[in-house]
Amino acid sequence: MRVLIAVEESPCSRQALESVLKRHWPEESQFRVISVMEPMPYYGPEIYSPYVIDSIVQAEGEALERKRKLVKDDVEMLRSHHVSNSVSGDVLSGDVRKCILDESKEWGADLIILGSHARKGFSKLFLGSVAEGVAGNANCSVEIVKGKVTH
Amino acid sequence: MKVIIAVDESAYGKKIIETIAHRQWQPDTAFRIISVVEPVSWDEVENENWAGLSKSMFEKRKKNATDLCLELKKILETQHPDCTVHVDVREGNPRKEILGAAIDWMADKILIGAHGHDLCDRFVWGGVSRAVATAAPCSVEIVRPYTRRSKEEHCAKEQKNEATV
Repeated sequence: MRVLIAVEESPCSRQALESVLKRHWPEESQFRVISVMEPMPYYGPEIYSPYVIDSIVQAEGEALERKRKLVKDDVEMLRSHHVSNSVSGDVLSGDVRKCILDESKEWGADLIILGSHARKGFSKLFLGSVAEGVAGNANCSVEIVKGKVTH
Repeated sequence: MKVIIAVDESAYGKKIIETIAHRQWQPDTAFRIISVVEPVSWDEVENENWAGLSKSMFEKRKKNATDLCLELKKILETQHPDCTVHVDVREGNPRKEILGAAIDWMADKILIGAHGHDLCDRFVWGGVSRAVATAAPCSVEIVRPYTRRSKEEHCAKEQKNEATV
């Protein structure tokens, strides 16, 4: 079984990973951890001062570094819990939904796991846009792990 | 761990159970197979003959749902003898009943089919599974059986071959 886990820094995403760690998986299961880096909006050099462009480039670099560390830590955590299983990880760049769906197809995932905030009241009527986009368009099973309730 | 498996009366439910049964589950896992049969509004059926026919059809659907759930229960129990499996056939609105069962039973997870019967068509995410995924108080897995995915891939390959020819 091939399990693709989409992670980010949010608490609900951490809960999704914890749920994977707690479960029993067949020995032949393979895990792939991915995190998607959405490029910062860029409106052309004419509206920015050189200082601002430098800051954007620096912020993007820092964000990418954080994502790489997150994926590396999660891969190591999975390897320590599921020693016999194959675990890989990668940081992708682009639209989050598209990246997750493309990766699941290319890698041949049987299950995609991602976190979503549990909601209350009016916002309960909506699922996160990434969770909804992935669950609705994937060609494999999708598990949405609900985190703590947010208002 | 408490897991709800929501299935309808179609054969698709069997594929979902086979996919789930193939996985590893902790021995203390309790499954509840739920099937909800939506009743026809009897008040709208004026002709007595039609009302009688509708009622008998509804009873038949309910019996089919019960038989299917019991069959699925056997499959799960055979694969996972340490787990407990309950069957729960209900009447009413599927999304309300599934969500109500998840709240009442304090389920940890709901497994529900994505629902797409036409294997070659682009996948349509069903209204019930979408509503359940959105409003559920617990984790939800939209299950797409292996057979379905492989058939989709097969269809896509055939279409590609036709295009190249």
